Amino acid sequence: MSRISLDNVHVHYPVLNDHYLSLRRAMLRLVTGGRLYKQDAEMQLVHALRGISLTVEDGDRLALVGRNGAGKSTLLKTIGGFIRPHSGDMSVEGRTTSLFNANGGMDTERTGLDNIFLMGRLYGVARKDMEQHVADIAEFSELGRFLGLPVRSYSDGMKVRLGVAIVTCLHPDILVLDEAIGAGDAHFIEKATQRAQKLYARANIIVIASHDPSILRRLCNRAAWIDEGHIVRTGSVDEIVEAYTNATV
Amino acid sequence: MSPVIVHSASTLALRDITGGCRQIGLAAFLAWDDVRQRYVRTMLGPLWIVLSTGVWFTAMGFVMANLFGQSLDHYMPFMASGLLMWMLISSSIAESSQVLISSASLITSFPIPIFTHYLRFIMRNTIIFLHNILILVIVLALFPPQLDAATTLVVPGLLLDMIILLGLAVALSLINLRYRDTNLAIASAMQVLPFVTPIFWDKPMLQHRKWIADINPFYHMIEIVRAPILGRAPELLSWEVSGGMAVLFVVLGVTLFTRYRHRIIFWL
Repeated sequence: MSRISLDNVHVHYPVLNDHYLSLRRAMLRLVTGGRLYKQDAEMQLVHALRGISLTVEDGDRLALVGRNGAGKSTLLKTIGGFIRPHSGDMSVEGRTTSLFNANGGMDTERTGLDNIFLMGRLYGVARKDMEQHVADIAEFSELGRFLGLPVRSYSDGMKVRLGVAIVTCLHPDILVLDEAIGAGDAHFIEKATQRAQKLYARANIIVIASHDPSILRRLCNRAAWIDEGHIVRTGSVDEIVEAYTNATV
Repeated sequence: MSPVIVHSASTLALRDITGGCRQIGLAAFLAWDDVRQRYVRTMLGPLWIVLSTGVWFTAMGFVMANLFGQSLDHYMPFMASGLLMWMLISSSIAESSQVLISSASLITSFPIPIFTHYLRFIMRNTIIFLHNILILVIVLALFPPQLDAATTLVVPGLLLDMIILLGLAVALSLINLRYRDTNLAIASAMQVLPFVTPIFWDKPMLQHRKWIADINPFYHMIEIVRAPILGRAPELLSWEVSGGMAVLFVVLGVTLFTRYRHRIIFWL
């Protein structure tokens, strides 16, 4: 049984400027007792999540709605296991697969085919299992023989198509998405959306942040409105989207 | 799957290390793939490193043996084994500071243990080292030294050096991630070291200034592997210094990793 539970979770992250990264200035600060470059020492912290409490059960598809900078991406990264909460309790039962952008983790020096196996392995799929998907990926992405060339020689559209083709082969347990899958030319969006639907159907839990209400309405059964690091309100997708839209008008 | 309940930073960091060790197959896969990528589209492939290093060894060996007035069959095994170890140590340290930076896209996309990237790094350098051993084998075949039972000490010596390099990699990568000019300082230091360390010249040549070798930790790291190959016992001091360094850098690496592991994603 997959499950996500957050209880009063707080996340801070530091904002680093150029000078803060200099070893020389840090050493000088140390040696002069902080008199030199004192302003470097004052690190700025962004209080990105302020007391988030949330439970997502098996079968839920949760939509996260909110302005840019509200904390949606930070919350996704926290659930995905990339950011450690500063305080509060968090429990994630199940394996998370996070798709924050179509090309996440791809090595552009490697060929398309190498990347299929690399990404597969990193998502937990053994090589021989991934081999069964290669023909399907080649066909769906329309890359064909280009798979033998390094990804750095691909156009942006080709990279996206390869990325989408690979991730839509997975069998995710908990799927964490920053925006829905599929971008690029109109023809591809259609194909990608259909294929993405099948991926979504295979997941036990989905948590997705998006600015597109129609996607959220189609996919999700619950929604949460995030603003300035806390959850303003939770409810059905229609209810939350309407409340959020009215508030921002 | 057991729930990931958030614990203290130390618990999470230690879990990262044990998780990385348990999933060693993943590190191995990444390491092999890294090595394979280096040879893609090259004519000679892995042979390239072996050939170029071989040419270098031959030229240097010949000139240096003459300069120091030593016979080739005495000098060549000495220089080759020392240089081989130096190449492992210097390339590991030079790459150390970049381990996290070059794995940035994986760290931000896949919640795999960050320690996996360190294991990948050390395994990759080991594989390349094993390629270069071919040269040493050729040199030893041409100029055979006295091998005896003590030669098996090479293995624990090598393992100890690997542990030192792993701990050092964790520490240096974290320091460099936070203070990005660290790797420049390291690069400068590494340039002068092969000349002040007994690699092209041996410690006895120092006569009454033998402390120059004794205070150099790299001398000891090299000696515990080189001495058994040459059929001489390494000084106890070398084992003590290397052992001490292993403890120091493992403790330093684990301490820094435990404290700063959760900030890595913000510093990338």
